[in-house]
Amino acid sequence: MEIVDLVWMVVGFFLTLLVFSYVLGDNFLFRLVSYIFIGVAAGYLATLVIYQVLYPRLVLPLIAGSLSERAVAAVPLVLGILLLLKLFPRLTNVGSIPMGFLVGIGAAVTIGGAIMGTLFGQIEGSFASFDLEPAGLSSGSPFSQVLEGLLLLLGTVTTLAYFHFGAATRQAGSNERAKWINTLAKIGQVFIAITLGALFAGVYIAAVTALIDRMDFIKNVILKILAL
Amino acid sequence: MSDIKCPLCGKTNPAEEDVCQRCGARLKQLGESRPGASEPGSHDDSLDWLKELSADGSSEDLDEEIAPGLQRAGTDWFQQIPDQLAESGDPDIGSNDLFAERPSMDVPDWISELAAVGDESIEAGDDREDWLGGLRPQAEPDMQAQEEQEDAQEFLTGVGPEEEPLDLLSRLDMGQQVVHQEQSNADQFLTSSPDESLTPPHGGEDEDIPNWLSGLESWAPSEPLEEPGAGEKLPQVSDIFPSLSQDAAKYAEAENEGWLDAEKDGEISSTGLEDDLDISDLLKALDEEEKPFAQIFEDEDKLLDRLDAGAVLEDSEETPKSEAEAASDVVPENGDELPAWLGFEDGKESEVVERSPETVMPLEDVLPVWLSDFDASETTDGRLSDAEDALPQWLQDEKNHEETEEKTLIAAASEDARPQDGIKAEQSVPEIPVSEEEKLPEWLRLEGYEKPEDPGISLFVSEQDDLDEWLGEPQDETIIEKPLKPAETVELTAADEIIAETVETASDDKPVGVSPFEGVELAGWMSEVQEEISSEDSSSETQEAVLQEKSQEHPFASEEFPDWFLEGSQDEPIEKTGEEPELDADEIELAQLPGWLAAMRPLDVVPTGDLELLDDKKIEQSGPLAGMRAVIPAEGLVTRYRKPPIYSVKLQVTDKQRAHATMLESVLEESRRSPEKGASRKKPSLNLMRIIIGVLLIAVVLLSLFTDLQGSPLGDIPTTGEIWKFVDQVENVPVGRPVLVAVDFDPGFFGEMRFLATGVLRRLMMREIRIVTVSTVPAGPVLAEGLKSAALELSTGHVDRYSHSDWFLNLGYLPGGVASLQEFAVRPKQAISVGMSAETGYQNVWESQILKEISGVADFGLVLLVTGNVDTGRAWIEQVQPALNDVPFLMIASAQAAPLFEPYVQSGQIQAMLSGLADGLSYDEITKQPGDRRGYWNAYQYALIVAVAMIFIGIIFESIRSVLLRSKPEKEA
Repeated sequence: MEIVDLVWMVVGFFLTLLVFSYVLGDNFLFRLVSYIFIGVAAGYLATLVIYQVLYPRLVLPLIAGSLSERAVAAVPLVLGILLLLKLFPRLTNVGSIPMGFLVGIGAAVTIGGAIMGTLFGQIEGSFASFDLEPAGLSSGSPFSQVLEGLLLLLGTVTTLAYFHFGAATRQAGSNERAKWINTLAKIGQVFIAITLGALFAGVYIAAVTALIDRMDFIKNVILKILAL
Repeated sequence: MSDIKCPLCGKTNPAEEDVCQRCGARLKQLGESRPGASEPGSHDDSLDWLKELSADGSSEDLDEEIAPGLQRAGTDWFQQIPDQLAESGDPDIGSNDLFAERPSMDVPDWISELAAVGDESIEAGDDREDWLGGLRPQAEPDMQAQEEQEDAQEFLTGVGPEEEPLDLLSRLDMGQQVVHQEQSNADQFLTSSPDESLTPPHGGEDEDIPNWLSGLESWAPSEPLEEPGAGEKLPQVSDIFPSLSQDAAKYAEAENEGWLDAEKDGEISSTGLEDDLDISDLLKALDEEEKPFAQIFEDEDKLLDRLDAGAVLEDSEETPKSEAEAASDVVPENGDELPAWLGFEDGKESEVVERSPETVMPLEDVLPVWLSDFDASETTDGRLSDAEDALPQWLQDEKNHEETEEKTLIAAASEDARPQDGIKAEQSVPEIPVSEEEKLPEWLRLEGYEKPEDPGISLFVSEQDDLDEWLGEPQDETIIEKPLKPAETVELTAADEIIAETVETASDDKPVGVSPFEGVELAGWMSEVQEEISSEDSSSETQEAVLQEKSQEHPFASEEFPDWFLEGSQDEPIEKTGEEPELDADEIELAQLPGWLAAMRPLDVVPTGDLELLDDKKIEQSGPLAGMRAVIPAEGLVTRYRKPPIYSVKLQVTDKQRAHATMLESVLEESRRSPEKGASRKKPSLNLMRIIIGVLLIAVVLLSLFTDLQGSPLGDIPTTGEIWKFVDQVENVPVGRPVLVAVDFDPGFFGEMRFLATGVLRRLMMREIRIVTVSTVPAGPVLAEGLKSAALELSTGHVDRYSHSDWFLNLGYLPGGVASLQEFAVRPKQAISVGMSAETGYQNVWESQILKEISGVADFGLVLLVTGNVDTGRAWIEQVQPALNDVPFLMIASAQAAPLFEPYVQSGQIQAMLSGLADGLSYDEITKQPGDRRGYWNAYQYALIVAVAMIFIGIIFESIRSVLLRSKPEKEA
């Protein structure tokens, strides 16, 4: 092992211990490590943007690019300058032009992707659960597949019913949902609770996995130090 | 010795002082400072020519009336003129010759200029009739009013209607070729017009009469007056404005050495044209003195004294014979003492006539206007004395107004037959095309200057008592007959106008935008008086209309006056300035409130009765608002309101809703508790729990890793169907096609992802499949390098190969988020041009060996997404996966995001997914990856057991605690 790797390993070791000091509560050591991480991340991000974005995508085309490349590169240059004008209160409206451009493009792309990728994809997946053809057969028996499909359908419908807040106005003035919707909503609460439990378990599993990784790192460092 | 009180400022000064110590005004009469003038005889002599004017023939009465005013005003410069004339001993010199032909005589410049102008007109053969030579034909009743005004103006200005009505002062300005309007406020005072809309009827710019002179025109008679000759204005001025002349002289002396002193010393040339001193200087001195209002009023008193004298003269008309006798008495026996120009009247006509035609003017032209008028009346009423004719027509007795008019008509008719007479020329004057109303400015057309709205007029109203003496003139009878009531309109008199002009000039130094001599024809008050006399029965509507118009135009409308100035007008009611627009009730629909709004009206609270009208005249007698007017009666309003009724508010809720509300209230009540109390109770336990859980987990994991326990408490690593699908997809990747690995997770997930992705990458490396990494997260490129390093750590045989860009290419960071992903899915070469590899530098990565055959994402053999974020994973699914066609899309997700990606796995959008440590170890186990998976698995299982144990312990602890808390109140109860 090179000395450089050993030094960085030791630095990592102590930084990890400082992070674990949060078990005792918020303290200076934990904040110190947090500040270090934030500073390193910001410096890294700036370097990455300069060397990965600005220089190869803007500066190089303007300097060494062809006429068409320069013209294309001038567009983001102008928009970028206009975006910087948002720093000045008087010129905020000018900076709204590239902001509008970005937000508009982002919204259009996101909505299109959500419809084509998620909505239609999920609808098609729900239908596929009832496909008893061998190509669509995912489980061992058709009965279990139909049962699984029904369970997914029930979970989907009841979960959507839980988030249905429409209600008719009663004579007494109170607004209550229909009873069948309330029934579905209560069933949906079960699926929602299971989902939230799974998410919590996944969070805990992820945290435990990260803890195991850091403990393995500490063990390796200790073993390497002891091996020296 | 007694002290002398300053006539200007009222300060008491020692008797030996000649000028006031405070204001610098001269304290002693000029005559007193002059050795010769201090003699009683000389003073009497100066009054002789005035005594001659007395109509009643009583010189004693005249002295009683005039002498006090003269003595108060001091020795008038004009009074000195008869003295000097008398001293010259040349009684043959007429009034025009007084200055023109006797250059050695010390006279004021402006007087000399007047004489010069008169001579010029005479020498030019101007056949203007003498303004006293006849009376205006009275057979033209429709032109009477206009002619009256013209005559009155002519009387004051000495200019006939056929010639430009040059002002006396304007002529002086013309002679000196000096414009003094802008030099002093005195000029402004003289030149200011009460209304900018004033337009001279005859169009002369320099023909305007100063306002203060115009104000004096109020004394002008309503009857037609004769036009004076151009060179005969001097006697008029001296007769009419003796006090003003005295005041002017006094101010001039107070300001500088005075031209009178220079006159005494013979420093002023008789011509006056070459001299620097002129009437403008004199008037300028008036302004520089900044005469206070009190002094102005005092001057008005002097004017009133002169009017008193005029009243005496009016009486003389009733007894013409006695007037003649009085005139003879007034004329001194000693011809040396008689003023030359008065001596001219005294039977010296023959000598004047004998003069050469070039130098001697006709008798009618030489005579003053008022003397010519006397000649005119001679034809009908017999030979009257010159003194009687010297009386201005406006001083004629108003009580015999009709009789005087008849006499004037008769006299005018007789004068018509006389050639070379002024009346003839006057008759030949073409009629002014414009009507009298059009000729006059708007504010001059008033019959009575009624301005009850203007508080500034109240001052003059309060001074009305003082002015009544001279306002008692017959021409102002109508004004006097009207008692000054607060609620009634107040008519301005001539003195009011003068004072108003003075106040305006004193309060505002800025020159009025009207030409100083524009108001030459008539001042407003004059037209008012005449119109009021002539048409007393005018309609009240016209008066109101004119009054409204005048209230807007009056110069005092925008002035701010002191409190004392406003006292007199506070009781005057405020008249409406405009009528309220009449609305047709049928056209307006009644307002209707909406039902809900009408129901909300607190009708029971608001009294239905009408409130008492606010009394504008009621003055608060007590309290902090004492003395204020029109105070809103708060007591009345308060007592009229009563306490609104209280309605019971009870919500109609069900028991369930009430229970929920109670629960919500209890939750909120807990949040309202003091944080110190709750924190002091919970903080130690939370810190202890955090420490216990943390230490326990760390200890369990460390022990699991260090002890290398054999066997697993929960069994071996499971291998599910999903993992096999993932293995199949990876194993089915064509060797020649590169695999795209998207590293889109944060550095915090690197420990978890290391267990999942390292085995997959190692497997790809073992299969010698080229790997291309890309990331939409800034830290992604570095994490990709970390994953590669971790994969190569246990597969040393592939380190050299995948250290080259031909086998492992890091495209770096893909900025732009979702939009950039869309572009990368459709046109990857445009989305990314350079990589992060040091070998390629900033060369186009698509020209590298690994991407040579790649034109789109569908050309990759496999797309593997390594992510720990749901949004990032969904973006890849939504934007890139549809463009992959048949290319498998696999996902390595964090355990916390895996439940949300499971629907995409079920729908087939994701062909396979690995999530969590168990799937990673399982994949490694299936693919026979090297490494200590047992230690990780054991640590993972013990950590889960600890977590489950803590959850159960927590549930049990909380259950016991809740049971104890429930049983405790029951025991206490």
